[in-house]
Amino acid sequence: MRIQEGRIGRQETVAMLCMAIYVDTVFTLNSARAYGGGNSTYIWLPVSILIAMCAVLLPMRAMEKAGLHTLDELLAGAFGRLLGRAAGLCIIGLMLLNVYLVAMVFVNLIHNFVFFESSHWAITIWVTGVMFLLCTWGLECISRTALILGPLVGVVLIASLAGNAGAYSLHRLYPLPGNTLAEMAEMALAGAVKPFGAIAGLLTVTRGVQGMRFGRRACIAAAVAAAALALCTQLAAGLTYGYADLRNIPFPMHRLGMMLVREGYFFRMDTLLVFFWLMAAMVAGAYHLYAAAAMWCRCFGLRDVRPGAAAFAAMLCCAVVLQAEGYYSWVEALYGWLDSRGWAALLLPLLAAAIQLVKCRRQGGAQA
Amino acid sequence: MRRRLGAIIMLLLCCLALAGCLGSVQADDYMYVVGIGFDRGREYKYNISFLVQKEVGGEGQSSTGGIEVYSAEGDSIFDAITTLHAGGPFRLNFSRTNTIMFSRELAEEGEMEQLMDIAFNALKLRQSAKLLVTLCPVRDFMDGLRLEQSPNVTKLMASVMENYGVDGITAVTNYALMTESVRDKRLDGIVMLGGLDETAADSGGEQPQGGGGQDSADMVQGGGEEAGSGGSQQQGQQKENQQDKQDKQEYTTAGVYRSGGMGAYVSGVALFDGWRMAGALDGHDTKFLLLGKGDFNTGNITIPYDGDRVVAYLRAGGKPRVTMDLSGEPRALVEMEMVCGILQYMGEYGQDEWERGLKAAAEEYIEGELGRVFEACRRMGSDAMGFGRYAVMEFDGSAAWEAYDWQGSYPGLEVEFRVELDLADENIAMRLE
Repeated sequence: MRIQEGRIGRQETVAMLCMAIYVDTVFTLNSARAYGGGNSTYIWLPVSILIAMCAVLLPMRAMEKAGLHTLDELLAGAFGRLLGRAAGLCIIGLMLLNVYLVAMVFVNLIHNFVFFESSHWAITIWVTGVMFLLCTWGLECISRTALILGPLVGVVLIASLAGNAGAYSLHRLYPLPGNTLAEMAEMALAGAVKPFGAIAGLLTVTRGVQGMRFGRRACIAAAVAAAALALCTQLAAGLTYGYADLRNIPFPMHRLGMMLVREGYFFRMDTLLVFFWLMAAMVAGAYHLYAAAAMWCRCFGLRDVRPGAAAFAAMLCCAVVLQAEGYYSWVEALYGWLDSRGWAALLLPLLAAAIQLVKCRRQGGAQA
Repeated sequence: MRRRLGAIIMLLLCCLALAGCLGSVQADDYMYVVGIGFDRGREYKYNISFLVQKEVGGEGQSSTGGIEVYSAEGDSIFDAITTLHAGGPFRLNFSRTNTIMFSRELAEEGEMEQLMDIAFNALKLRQSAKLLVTLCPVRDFMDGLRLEQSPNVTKLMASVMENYGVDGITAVTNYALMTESVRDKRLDGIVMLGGLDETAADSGGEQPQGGGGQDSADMVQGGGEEAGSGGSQQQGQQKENQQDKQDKQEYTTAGVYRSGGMGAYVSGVALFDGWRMAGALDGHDTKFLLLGKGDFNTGNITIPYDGDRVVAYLRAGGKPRVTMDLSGEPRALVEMEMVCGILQYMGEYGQDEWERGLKAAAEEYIEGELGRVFEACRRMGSDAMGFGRYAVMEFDGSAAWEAYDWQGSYPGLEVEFRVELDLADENIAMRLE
């Protein structure tokens, strides 16, 4: 069996998970939709992360009670083998969707802001190639890379937010709170699907993270840290640009320093900073790719994670290039689907957890 | 075996870093453009000028400093670049561009929007590039930037920033701030205003050929003693005054005789209504505009008092407190506190002069000037003081805010200014001594 899981500690797990959640929620935000009717992303985005965390903690609890180790076992136990595999495919799709959005955003970003004359193919192969390479080296490699890069990216993130404080202005956050409570609740629920994809990856590698108990603690720590960082980032973006401006800015992090009139420490660092965010995105992408390939292996009894990862990476490359070659409307449709029905993906593991808990209770009652 | 394989792969990957050696570019293959200027063209839509910073220092330094201006006509900036590339052994590089300049004509016709609607990243232009409107043709303004003693054009920008921060005679705006004002509709943009004083130019530089001085003459409106600046709303009396000023200002720096330094100068601001330039304020009025906007830091003003004058130094004591009432016709109350120092007192003075009448006179004067400048901006339809920023705070939803139509309501806005001055140094007599 070459699942390449290895064993990682809590710090590695938290760093990897936090990075993945943050990248999935903040960097892949659909600006046109998120800021369409005002800006309350600094409220609902952290809330969506906490919703996703809760949506994973329940299946964890059910798995712990039933003595199951991985998500595929939970799905198979709850829905039966065939339906369990189908449900597993949905979860794999969700993970691949996450890595696709991350790769797409960064390939477009690098193409538009850094290497304008390079083709999308070249940039895509460069980005996904690194993700694939990290993925084939296994979970230990991904998580330890995350632990090395995580604090660095975190410090740079906080420094860049603080360094641009001169451009912040409170009036840009108004009208407060930007959206109605119902709109915020809807967006938080719809937005939870992306961090859920990141956290659900943990359920496929519970052995690697030293068991369910350690996994749960790491999951809570990572989700809370990512929610706090998302709050800071979105608040900074909201203080720098009004919502009407933000809906036209696909990646506000790159333009935080543009409002500064006086040159500061981060004045000409925006392109350099893109590479820090890219490092985080590559680690997050590798983690998603690995989780999807591991889930594939477990669902279909394969013994090596690499063929699945290679196939997914190749599909990913083609899909990223396609959107740049005139099929961006597909991405818009995808975003539209995620925003309207994406929350349904959360129901699968929740339903499986509920069924499993009922089964456990019945078994407990029968034994008594 | 595995480690060895990993090491070989890593070594191969390291080779990718050598890709920088392929297609190498020499440093002097590029001309670094520090400023781009747009004028109306003769054959094509625009005449586009590029201000290039040449190497400074060393024996190769020319008498015109380190500045070179290239220009070409075209319907877009890309056409002009292509034309220049065809006629010169260099490539223009825009990674160091910090200012984009427009002639007054283009700004007034609202063509900035069309000119700026380009892929900034394709040229490696930054959205933090500062904007400037010139009263004269931009090409002449660029030529006027030549200074024998200071060949570094980027120092001009540093100087402008100093004027903004210390004197408050101009306001620095970049492209990102300008687009924000257009998209968000909470305030209107104000852009640095430049002009050309041909006679003032240092002897070292080549004298510009255009009629920049003429242009500068009729532009600076609403100056210190003038009531308001009105664009198309100028009264007959004002027209006569303008004509007098025109005669006087033909070879002056915003109406003041000067010699030495650069031919080009930056003073005052261009006021915008969306992307269209609606009018201009001179340096004096700009101080009060910045005061009202909450962007004023420090500056000197001359206050009429007791038949004479007092030169005072003002320092903002925080942002103004603005109370908006949007229940009927919009009304605003602006309260601001400032620290005031007396630099020159031209009359008999006593220890209690401040409390005896100077404080009240200074406050009244500043309030009057703020009201006058606000009125001038309102007449031009430009919310340059940014009252929309406070109006938006009265709404609890974006739908209600957008339905309110601030820009439609702004011309009816009534503003009351209340200024509270705090004397920086109580012992005026001692300090003046």
